[in-house]
Amino acid sequence: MSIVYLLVPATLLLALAALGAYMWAVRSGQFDDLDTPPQRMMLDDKDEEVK
Amino acid sequence: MREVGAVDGPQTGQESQSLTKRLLPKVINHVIGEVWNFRNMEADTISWKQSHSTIPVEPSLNFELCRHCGLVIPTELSGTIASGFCCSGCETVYRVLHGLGLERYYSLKSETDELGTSSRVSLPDTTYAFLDDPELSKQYLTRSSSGLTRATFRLVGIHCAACIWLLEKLPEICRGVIRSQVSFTAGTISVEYDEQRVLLSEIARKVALLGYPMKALEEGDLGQRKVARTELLRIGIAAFCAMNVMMLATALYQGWFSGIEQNYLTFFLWGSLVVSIPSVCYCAIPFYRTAFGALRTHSLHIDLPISFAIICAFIVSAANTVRGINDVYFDSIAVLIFLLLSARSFQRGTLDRSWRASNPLWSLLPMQSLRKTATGMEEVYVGSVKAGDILEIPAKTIFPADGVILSGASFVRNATLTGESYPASIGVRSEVFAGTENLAAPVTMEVFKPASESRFARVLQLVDEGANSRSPIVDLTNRMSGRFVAVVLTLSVVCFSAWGFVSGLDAALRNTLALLVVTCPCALGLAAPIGLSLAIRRAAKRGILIRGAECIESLAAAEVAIFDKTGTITEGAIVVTDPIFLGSDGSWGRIENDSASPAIREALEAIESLESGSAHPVGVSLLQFAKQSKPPTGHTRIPLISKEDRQGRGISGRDASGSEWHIGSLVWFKELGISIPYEMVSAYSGSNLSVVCLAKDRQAVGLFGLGDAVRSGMVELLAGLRSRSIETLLLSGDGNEITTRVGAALGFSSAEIISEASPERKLEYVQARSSKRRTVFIGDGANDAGALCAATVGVGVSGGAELTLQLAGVFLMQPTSEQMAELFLGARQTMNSIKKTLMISSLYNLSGATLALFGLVTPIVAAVLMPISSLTVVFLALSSRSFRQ
Repeated sequence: MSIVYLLVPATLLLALAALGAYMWAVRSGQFDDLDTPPQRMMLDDKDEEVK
Repeated sequence: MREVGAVDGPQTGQESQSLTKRLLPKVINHVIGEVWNFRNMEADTISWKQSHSTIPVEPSLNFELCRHCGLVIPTELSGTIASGFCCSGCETVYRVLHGLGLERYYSLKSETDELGTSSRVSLPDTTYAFLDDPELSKQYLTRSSSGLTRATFRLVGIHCAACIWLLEKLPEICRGVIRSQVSFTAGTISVEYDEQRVLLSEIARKVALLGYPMKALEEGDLGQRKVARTELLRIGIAAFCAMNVMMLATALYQGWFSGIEQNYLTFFLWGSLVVSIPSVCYCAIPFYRTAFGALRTHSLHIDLPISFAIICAFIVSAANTVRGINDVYFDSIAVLIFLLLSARSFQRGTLDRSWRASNPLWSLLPMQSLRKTATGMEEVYVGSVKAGDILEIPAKTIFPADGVILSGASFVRNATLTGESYPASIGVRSEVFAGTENLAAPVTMEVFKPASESRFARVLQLVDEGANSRSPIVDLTNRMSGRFVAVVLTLSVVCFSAWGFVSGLDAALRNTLALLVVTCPCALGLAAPIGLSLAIRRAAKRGILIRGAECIESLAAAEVAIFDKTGTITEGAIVVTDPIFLGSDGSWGRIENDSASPAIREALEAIESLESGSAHPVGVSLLQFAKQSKPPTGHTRIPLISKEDRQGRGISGRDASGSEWHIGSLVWFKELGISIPYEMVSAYSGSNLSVVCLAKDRQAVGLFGLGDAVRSGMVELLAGLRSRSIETLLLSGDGNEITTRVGAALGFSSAEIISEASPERKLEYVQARSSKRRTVFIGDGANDAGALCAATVGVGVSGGAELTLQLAGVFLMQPTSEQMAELFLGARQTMNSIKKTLMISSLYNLSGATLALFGLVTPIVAAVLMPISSLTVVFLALSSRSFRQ
């Protein structure tokens, strides 16, 4: 059972990595505007090939 | 392959697809060249019509709808503008878009603009040259390290995904722009550009050419963004802590049932302690802050018992960890913090949307004004106008500052300040105020006070002070939490002393802590935010924009409803209501009976000819009436060979056949000695209409009542409010007689009617009322700024959502009586369902407290009981029926 001494910190580290990614996303402004990107998503780049 | 839109231009036929591909770069170059020419035409104001393009416009099958904005084309415009467009603005933009190869805008628009919220394009009459003033750039522009400049400005008309698509194509259209990013909700665009290659004024011009005139420069709102980011960080960290503490707690619960070795117990206890520290010490700070504030001001707040429970539970759990006892509440606290933070963020997200703070003063005023200099005129940004400047104010624009008229005569609509529906005439030496509208003719003014010190700015300042000084409403949740705290504290004392007496200090401490944890008003704290923000979201879908949760609560418990008259009770526009004509047979009749009769037709045509070009509001409404009432076939006007406009009295003219026409007030007719059919005029007495008479060859042939009609359904709405014993009052800036007449017709007693109230008086009056009772004031957006803000809840019915919501709590997108009724009903339903939820959540707390009193609550019971109560509350809140029909 003493494996928990290793496994629990390991899961915590994994979760910390995820938290770190989230914090980076927040700080870089990815959650600042939640209304425009869903609208923008409707517009695919069909016209790119025209150029 | 590109999609072909419903209203598409000639270039998008099937066979021309490949052709387009080859030709497109050329076309782009051509039009970009055209657009570039603007720069060189900067010497004077640009004539926007010169931006012609070589692409012909096909006659459209879709005759009635504008090919750009999709709105119905007013019939009287046919012939003046290329067919298929409603105005030259739309035409210009349509041609520019086609020239740039951006036709896809139209197909995107038809796909994504479900609401049909498009609006006509009004091209600006400025070159935006004033934007290049270095003083301005210091305040509004930011420079990045890569040498690029960033500017954010508010645009008019962003309404669907196609707009985003179009505006984010800016780097392809405008040389020197590196990036453009639209914020849909805020209605702003941020551009990053190279100052060496392009000027801000040019970007603004090009954006305007795409159909989005610039409204104002925005200062960076970094502060607000930072607050939002911190909140998200707190939630994320709280979620992390909650999940991991729960994982560790599973092991502890397992150990509780089946036993656990002391070394593992110590490991998991310390692990839980460490992981929950960020949650308790960082994420929960907002709760401590409000709780501390509440303590200092001796007021009650739900955060007080919450913080108390969190801190107590944490300290005791930490002590048990040190002592190595498996009796800790880390998981319950961590989950509690996460849930409460999320619920509050959900609520705030609802509130803080498109109406983000920007000074309402600048959203109302025009961006630029024409200033006289030693050499001529120059355009300046409205913020740089100073006292002593001489300004030229064109017709149909808003005065940008307080001052006095130096030359010219016009009419001015003072509604913003006085709420008066009828325009006032102004001449040399008349005083004018920022925010009022110059209706008729250009005038020159000398500035006494710039916009920021104007009377309008002072009204807004009063509003601010009013908002800050008003005692905060203790909302339902906090009122309940007061009683709650009292009950919990009593129970804790009982619990502690009883257990201390029976089985000693240790058991007493343990059970009292359990009591505190299970009675932590988590569900109570969740119920109101979720219920209220769902109601706000649903209301917004129905066109009722509500700024804050407290508005719903106050509306549901309203005791006084004060209505503004003009534009609220009434339609707010002068319309011809009771026209009667002298028919061919010599008898008077209403128009419906005989609209095709030649005499009536002639009269209508005469009105159109006489009033065409008239700026007087009465003339405008007469003209509109004549156009609407004419049989659709007739497009003729009676050609006049001479016309004389007697300002404020009427207009006379002579037509080609030698007939003399007069249209004007009865007073004027009396002066002219034209006989007035008094037996017909008497029909108008008793109504709130003013009468205008039309005469042919000095013989009266038509009578028109002009006035502001009462909205339909108002009587029922008012009756409904009165039946729930809400006191109704009528408050108006208009004259005593007219207000009394309208009020009496709607069942207001004379004590309930207040007339001739200036904005300042309205403010005082509403303030006095709302200091004692919950007062709802329903009025115009900008006109009643002070009163809207002074009331417990202000409900704005016109004047733009953005401006109104900075002043009032509620904005109705359709100012109908049905929406007003729905607002009151929805608010009551919301509060009723919240009350129900609160009762159920207190039941949970009560049963938890009972269990704790008997020493039956262990950490695991708390861990089960609390989520169940929270979930019940969330489900109940979700099933509420308010604002849903």
